[in-house]
Amino acid sequence: MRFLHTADWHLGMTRRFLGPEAQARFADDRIQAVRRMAALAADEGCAFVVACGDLFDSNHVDRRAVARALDALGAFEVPVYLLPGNHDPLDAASVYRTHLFRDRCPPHVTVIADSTPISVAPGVQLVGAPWHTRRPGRDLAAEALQGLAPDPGVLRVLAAHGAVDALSPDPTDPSLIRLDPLRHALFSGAIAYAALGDRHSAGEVAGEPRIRYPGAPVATGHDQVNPGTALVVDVDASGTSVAEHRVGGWEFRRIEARLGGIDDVERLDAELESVPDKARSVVRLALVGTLSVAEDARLQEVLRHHGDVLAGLTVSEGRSDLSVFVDDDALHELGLTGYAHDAAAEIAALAAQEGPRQQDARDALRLLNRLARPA
Amino acid sequence: MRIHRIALRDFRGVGTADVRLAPVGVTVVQGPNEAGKSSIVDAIDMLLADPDSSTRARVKAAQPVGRDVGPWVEMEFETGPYRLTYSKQWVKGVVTELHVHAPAPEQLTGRAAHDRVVEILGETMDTALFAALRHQQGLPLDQADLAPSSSLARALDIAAGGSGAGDEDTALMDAVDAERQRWTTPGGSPNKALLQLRDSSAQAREHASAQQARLDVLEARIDEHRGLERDIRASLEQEPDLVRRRDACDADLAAVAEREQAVRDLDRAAEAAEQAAQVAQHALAARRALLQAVADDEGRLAVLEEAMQAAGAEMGAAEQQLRDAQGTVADAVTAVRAADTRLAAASAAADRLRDDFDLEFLLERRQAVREAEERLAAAEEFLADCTIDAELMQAIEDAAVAHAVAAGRLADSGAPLRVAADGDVVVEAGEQHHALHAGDEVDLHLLPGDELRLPGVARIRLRDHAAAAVEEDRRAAAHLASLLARAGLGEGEGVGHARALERARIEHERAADEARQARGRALYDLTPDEMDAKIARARERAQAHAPGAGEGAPESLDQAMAQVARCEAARDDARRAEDTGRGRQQQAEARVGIARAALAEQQGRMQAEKARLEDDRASLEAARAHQPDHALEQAADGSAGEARDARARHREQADALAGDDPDTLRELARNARTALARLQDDRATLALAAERLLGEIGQAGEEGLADQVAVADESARAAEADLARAERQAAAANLLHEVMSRHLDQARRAYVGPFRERVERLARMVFGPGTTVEIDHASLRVASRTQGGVTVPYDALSGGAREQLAVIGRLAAASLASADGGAPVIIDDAMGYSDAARLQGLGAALAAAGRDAQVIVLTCMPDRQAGIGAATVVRLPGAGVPGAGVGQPADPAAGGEVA
Repeated sequence: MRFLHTADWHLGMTRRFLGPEAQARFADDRIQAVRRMAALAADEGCAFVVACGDLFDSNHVDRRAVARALDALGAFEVPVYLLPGNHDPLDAASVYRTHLFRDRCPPHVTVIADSTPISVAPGVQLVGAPWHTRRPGRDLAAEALQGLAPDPGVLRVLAAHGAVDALSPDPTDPSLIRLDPLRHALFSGAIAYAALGDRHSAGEVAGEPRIRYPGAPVATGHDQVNPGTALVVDVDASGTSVAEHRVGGWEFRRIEARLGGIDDVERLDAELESVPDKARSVVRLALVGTLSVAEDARLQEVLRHHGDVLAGLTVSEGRSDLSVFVDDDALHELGLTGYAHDAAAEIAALAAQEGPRQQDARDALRLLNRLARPA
Repeated sequence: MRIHRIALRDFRGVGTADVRLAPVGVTVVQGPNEAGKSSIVDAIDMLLADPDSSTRARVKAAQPVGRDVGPWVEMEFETGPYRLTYSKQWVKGVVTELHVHAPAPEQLTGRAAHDRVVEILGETMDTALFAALRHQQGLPLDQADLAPSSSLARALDIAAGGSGAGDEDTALMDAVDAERQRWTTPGGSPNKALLQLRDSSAQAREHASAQQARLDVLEARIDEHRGLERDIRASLEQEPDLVRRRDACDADLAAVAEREQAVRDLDRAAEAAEQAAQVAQHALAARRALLQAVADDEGRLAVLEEAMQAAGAEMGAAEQQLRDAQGTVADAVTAVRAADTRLAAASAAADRLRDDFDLEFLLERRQAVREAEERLAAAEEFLADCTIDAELMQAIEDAAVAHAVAAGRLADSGAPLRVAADGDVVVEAGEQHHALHAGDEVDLHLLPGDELRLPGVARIRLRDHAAAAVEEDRRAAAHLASLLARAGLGEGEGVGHARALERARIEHERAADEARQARGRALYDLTPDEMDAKIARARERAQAHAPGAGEGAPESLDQAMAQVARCEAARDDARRAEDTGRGRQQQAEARVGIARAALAEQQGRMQAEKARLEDDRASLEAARAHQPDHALEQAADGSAGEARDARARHREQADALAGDDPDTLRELARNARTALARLQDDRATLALAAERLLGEIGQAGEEGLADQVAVADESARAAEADLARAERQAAAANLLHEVMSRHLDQARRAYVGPFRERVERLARMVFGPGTTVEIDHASLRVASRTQGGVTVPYDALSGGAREQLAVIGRLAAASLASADGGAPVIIDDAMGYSDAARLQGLGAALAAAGRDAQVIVLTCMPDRQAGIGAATVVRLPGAGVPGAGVGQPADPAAGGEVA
């Protein structure tokens, strides 16, 4: 039995560090990723598709996002089972209950509304743990598994959404999926595979290959491990195997640079230049070091240039500490004499020391550099 | 720049002038007004600025009035390394010539020459300083604007130890200022653009919050809906328990209801017995009431009979009173009639007397009429015969006078004679007859025509003498006689008769008038006929009266009227008595009426009472025939006992039931039912609310709120980022501006030092030792002067002191900048405010400055500049001396003395 396991499409999501154009590209690429999964499911001969939650970024996404999602879902040739997650719970205002969704939902797409086992193929059942509210306050997966006795003639796949207690930074959250019941169900044979959603990084949980997050099909932020994939899962009585397939193309990078001179600035320029597929790359910089005003001017130029090319380029204020200084050589270079020279020296001193006006002084130096530099 | 020589020809009022100036030191150019001193200054300007082709107004104005020639100016001067001779002619015969003597000889003409000079000046001359150091005639001498001068700034900067950066730094400062003004007002507060950014940022955030709030509301509704659904489920779970409880209560209630029915039956039986007892009791009471009614009827009848008798008595008394009153009235009526009779008699007597009186009066009046008519007739008879009247009388009088006059005149024309008798002789004249004896004399007047007769002797007559007088006398006499005849007077009757006759006529006229008036008075309003008729009627009336009514009849009208009044009073008294009587009669009649009615009422009552007594007795008899009194009493006693027994049985059962507390059982049952109903009601309400919420959620849920929130949040972040960027830029620009301004200020303060030193050195020459000044470092103007410890702001100084400081400032600037080429100080007819002592000092200052700089003083009052030592003096002749205007420098040595 082969099926496609995916989750966390987050359709309708907006990213504030993206400009309008990049934003549109981002939205479009994630719809494309859905279409790619449809093709993947067909190519790999998957019997069905299970999407484990957070397919929409919110229950209140724009209706265009819903319409485009439904259109893309129409591309699947096999049954698709959608599990409501914490972003799109099956509550009173659920996106799955809107007129638009109900009217346009392709016939092969099913929204999992409760934990009644669904027969997806002869001898194969899908047991869902759908979210009905954003704060269920209990372990929905454990609840779905309750009273589910092992049946030698049936293979069961659990579809659940949420953080597992082993990976969560807040283990007291009552909505966490506890690993113990999952493991117990796997060992007893009540289920053969736990298809999870929620984490945007892909991977198995706690060394158990049968408990897996597929990750977001298109990366949505920094620090995500192996995003951009969908899982093709083979399950039968003899065992389970999983294959990762790449479906999404965005990259979120962090670059840390120590800047001590013009060479470092040029190196950073080269590194940014080497980023592939810039239109789908978001870079977050952490810049530490000290530059002269002239070097800083060059840095600003580099940043402006790559900001224009990349989908997103931001400098993390929290992780950056970049000093700008002015020395006599620089002053000389600017041709500053007399009182202007003295004034520049005073501002340079302000910029060099910690204080409430340090930032202003750095900016003032940059400004002076711009105004005094011969055109 | 230093000017060595300036020559003018046909320039405004100046025919020709050629002035040599000392390139260093003071040159005083003297000349009376309109000698062309100011033209020299203007000529320098024109030469340097206006091409020969210029048609500017000032160029045209430079042409001499009424002469078709072109103004021409030539100047020899040095500037920087250059030394040149430069000339131009405008308007007519235009030409431009330039000879550059040093550093390399050049010779140019026309536009090229002009452009070359402009180039040289741009390269070497500080235009701002040149303009600032030149004072023009007619303008108040105020401080020069030295701030824009680059050469002075450079000089000061060098003097202050700076590098002399000059213009470029100011440009940087300007750029900083421009940058700062992107977000900041000149005053240093955030400008409109920054405020707008702040505003739109706040608005965008507010909008995002509002959107978020909408989303939160939606989420809250979703949660609420979940809560409702949970409540509905709980309600459904509770329901079976409540149903069970209600059913148990209902069973208990059924048992209680049966027992209650039994108690109610007993209660009804007791009630029936009690009613029977009440019926018997009522029958007995009715019988007793009937007996009592008969007794009461009898008692009331007795009382009524007594009242009946009292009413009869009252009736009798009233009737007697009425009869008495009627008698009184009859008497009164008789008395009234008697009084009326007496009154009639008295009135008749009074009437008769009054008629008699009237007749008598009328007769008297008629008598008076008759007498008056007689008098009138007599007078009218006389008047009818009388021929004289007032007019005729007047004529007679006039004629008499005329006659007298004529007679007089005649007499005058006669001859007076004295006849003296010598013997007896008779003398006659006219009528006169004198018998004279010897010695007698008689005087006679002989009139013309008269004769003096001596009878028998002679007749002497005046001969034909005064015939006219005689004629006139005769005519006057005839006229008088005719008038008298008209007056009916006969011969021999004269004027005296006429007068008597006229008096008589007047007398009779008066008598006639008097008679007419008397007659009118007597007739008064009547004609004589009417009077007669009235008399006839009055006589008839008097005769109609019965003759005197015997004794007691009144004798006078007054007495009669008094009697009438007495009789009227008597009759009125009688009438009042009658009225009183009639009033009493009415009262009596009323009393009789009341008494009669009371009697009738009493009779009616008695009849009714008698009938009721009969009825009651009949009823009693009939009732007794049906049931005797004692039977009724027995029945009442028996039924009362039965009722008491039945009520006791009922109470026993009811108490037993109450002991088992059926109310509590009922309350429990009701509570169970209510609880169930409430549960169901509440659930319906919840379901309705849930339905409604679902509707709202469904509506809001499809609006794409999350996207709107994201978009709004994104806009807010963008606006906040814009604002943060602007704030940072503003802070940076402000910091840069602040620091640079401060340093620029300090720099200016530093380089203003040498300038102040120079100004003070010159000022001490004018104002005395110890004088200090403050210089405003931005404008390089003297801000205040301190002398003898007293500091006075420039604007508060006297006109003279301000003027002197203005000159000193220029001199100081010129001498400081002289190393760099500098510019000449030109002062045109100024220092009018300065007194002699100060002029001395100022002269020293000018001379001192002249050691470094070129100073040109134009003046029409040479003695004003007498204090300048070592000045070159050039005199210009007066205006309008063609060809004579060649000023030559006087001997420099002599200058001090002469000038």
